[in-house]
Amino acid sequence: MWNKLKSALGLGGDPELAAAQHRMQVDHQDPRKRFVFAVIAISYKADPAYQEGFAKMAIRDWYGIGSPEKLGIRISGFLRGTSSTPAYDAFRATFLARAGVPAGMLTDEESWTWALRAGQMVQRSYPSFMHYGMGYLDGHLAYRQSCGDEPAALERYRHNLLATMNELTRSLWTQISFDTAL
Amino acid sequence: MLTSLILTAVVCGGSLGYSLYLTRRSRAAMPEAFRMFFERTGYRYADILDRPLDAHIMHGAKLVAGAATRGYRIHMIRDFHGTPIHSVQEHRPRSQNGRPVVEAGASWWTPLPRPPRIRLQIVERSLAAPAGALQEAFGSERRVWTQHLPLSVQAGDAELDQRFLFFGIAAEEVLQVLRTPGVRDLLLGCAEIDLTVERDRVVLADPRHKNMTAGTGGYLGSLALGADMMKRMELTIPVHDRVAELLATTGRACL
Repeated sequence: MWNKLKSALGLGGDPELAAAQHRMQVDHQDPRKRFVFAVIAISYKADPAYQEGFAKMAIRDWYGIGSPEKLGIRISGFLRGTSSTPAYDAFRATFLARAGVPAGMLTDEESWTWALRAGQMVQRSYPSFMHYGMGYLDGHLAYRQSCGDEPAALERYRHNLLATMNELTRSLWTQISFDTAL
Repeated sequence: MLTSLILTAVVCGGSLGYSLYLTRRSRAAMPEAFRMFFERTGYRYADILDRPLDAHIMHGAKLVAGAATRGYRIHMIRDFHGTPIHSVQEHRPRSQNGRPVVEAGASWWTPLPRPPRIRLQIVERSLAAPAGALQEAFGSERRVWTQHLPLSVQAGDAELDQRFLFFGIAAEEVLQVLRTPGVRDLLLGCAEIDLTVERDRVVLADPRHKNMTAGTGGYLGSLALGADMMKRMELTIPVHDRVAELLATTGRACL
């Protein structure tokens, strides 16, 4: 309640996140772009394309990508599918596609083209956002387990992701059709 | 005084002798009991799967002999009308902050040939309810249960809803599985349900062996069976069969 009040008054919170969410409102006039955010929303509250510092750090440190060519190879690799779930692959392709813009590796147009292809992959693989969310959860937990995370940490991830899915089911995921033409 | 000492010695000696006699009788009966169990269920130990039946009987007796002191992990596999069923029992004594702790687990599971179309979790209300947690707070035992799926679903069947909680991804999918012939009766026929359709398998967890205990007549029934290994193992067979049927039926309904 206090956070909502602060946010309404424009006080506190992360200013970069607030600015990103403001820019997303323009994108969300287009249902296809809103769908792309529905894919990212399982893990992030804002589009990484509008969080420059975070996007650069994620591409460099998390994914170890240093050039536009390598970024393209990684995104198309996820779109072809890895040994993980289609949901986790599609999420990572979408995330990289959007984060590639502030990292200076993709134009906005290229980014949306990749992201929409990832959205199509989600539609082909699952019957609903909830099923996509479950696929993401499976893929993410398998990845964290392969990183050596303890069972207690995995249970915390599961608990948090189930809570996010329940929140999205009452908001974004019901405000947009899963069959949106992409 | 002397008479009472002699009497006490006779009673103690007699009890010790009888208990030794029972232990020996139980050990002697073990190979035949194992043979009957393996022949009737088709179960074999996973770590020596291809060995002949006699090797499994010897392996079983060895596992039982070392179980009390070292802890154990028993993994058996059977073919239940074309469905592979795994039965795993674990008992690991260890020390945590200087205190002895025992981690126990028991489950049956069947692998799925492909990721299931439907995900499902069914659990006794008593396992998920805060009352269970309260009971655990005052006891020495902790039963771990976690919710795996996001949506809580009502079965619309008074008997089922009164006893179980249902979770899934979409309500209609859960109801579709519950409408599958046989599933309702199999669920109600089990003493304790903690069933999960995971991404690659269907699992029934029963770490406190509630189903087996109920199958052998409860704690009193089990006590009455004493060292009769043949009878004891015979009584577990319908429990194994019911669980195998539940896993196979649920797995097929979710694919």
